[in-house]
Amino acid sequence: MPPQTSPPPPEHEAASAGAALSDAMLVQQVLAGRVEAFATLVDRHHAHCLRVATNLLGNADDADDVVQEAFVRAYRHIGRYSERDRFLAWLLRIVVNQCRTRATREARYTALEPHVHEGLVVDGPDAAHTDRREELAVALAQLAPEQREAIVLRFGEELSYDEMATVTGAGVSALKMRVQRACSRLRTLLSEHLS
Amino acid sequence: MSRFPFADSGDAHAGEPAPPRWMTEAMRAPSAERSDARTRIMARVQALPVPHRLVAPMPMARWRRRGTLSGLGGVMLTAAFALMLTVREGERFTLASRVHTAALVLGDSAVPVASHMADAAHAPTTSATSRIGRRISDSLSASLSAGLGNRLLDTMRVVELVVRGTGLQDVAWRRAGDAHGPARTVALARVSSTEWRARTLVPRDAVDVTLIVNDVALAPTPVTPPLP
Repeated sequence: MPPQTSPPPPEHEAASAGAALSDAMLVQQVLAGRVEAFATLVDRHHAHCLRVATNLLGNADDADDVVQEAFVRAYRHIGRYSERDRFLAWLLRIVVNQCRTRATREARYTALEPHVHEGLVVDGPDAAHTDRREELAVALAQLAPEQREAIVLRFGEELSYDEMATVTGAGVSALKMRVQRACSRLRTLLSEHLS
Repeated sequence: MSRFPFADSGDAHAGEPAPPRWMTEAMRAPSAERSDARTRIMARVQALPVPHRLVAPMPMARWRRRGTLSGLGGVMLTAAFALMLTVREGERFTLASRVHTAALVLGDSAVPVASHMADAAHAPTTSATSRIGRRISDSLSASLSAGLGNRLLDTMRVVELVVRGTGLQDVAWRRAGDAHGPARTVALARVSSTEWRARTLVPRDAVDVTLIVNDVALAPTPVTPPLP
């Protein structure tokens, strides 16, 4: 007798059915009362949001909490989402705002500890990879919060400056200046570190 | 891989500074996800009410700038205009159905020229311009008096207004098409139980007159010239 497998949860079935739909169509379905469509959005963007939150906060637990809270807020205010915007940019704005709030509340945004990235990398059995993560955490921790946001969004997420402006609420010129200053600061820090 | 800062960045965009490749790769490495993260999010989401699309209300300044009204405002304004039009036109149609008017030309009005010109000629004047004007006026007066026998036609015609109907209180008239012109009240003389007549001076170029009966303007009445 073949082993019985438990049926997948209904939101999993809906998520697989809605995988081909665009974000805007999924949002419309959510607004129409199909909560399961939101599961597809979670599946599609959770890893992305978690990576951004992890780079900004440097703490896996905080990043997980922030992303969870960001998705709940996104669901609650999804009626304000305009289809003219990219859903991921709209969602990342919530994530970044949540990271700012969390960092301000717990004062961890600037007091990053070098070892907190341990275990954050999925396929990181090699020590080199973990070392790089720790070096990255140390380097990013030395940056001002707005510079850290700028460099993570620009080079970690490969967003355009317009998208960064949407996410952070800052102007394009200010963002370019932040990226430039962050790179300059990183150059100095890494030179000192290597020497 | 070179560890020299910024020496091997593969992400530089047209002169834009960039962090080293190893740092970029570390930032792009996926983070470890908890297995129950999705379940926890969906559990919280399903406990919330279904969201609805929100439409930001248009600020009042924008309403005025665009000249738009709310649905109820538009309906109320239309109803008010319709009521005003119905009352106004209803009165006119009711009155027009029971009142008939006519304007008959009786002749031309005439004024004695000699007395007018004499008064103007004997007015005290001092300047040279006034003296020249007086000489012109005297010569014009003399030539017109010789031709018309001391009578000069003016630009008015004597018209008899005839109003037939019941319930008449006051009648005034004005030139047709001159809605904002002055209305001249006339004294009605009762001819019979349903007919009133009044004589008035109407400009020679007035083709139609509008009679205002009991403060209601009727349709224009043509000024009928006398039969040859």
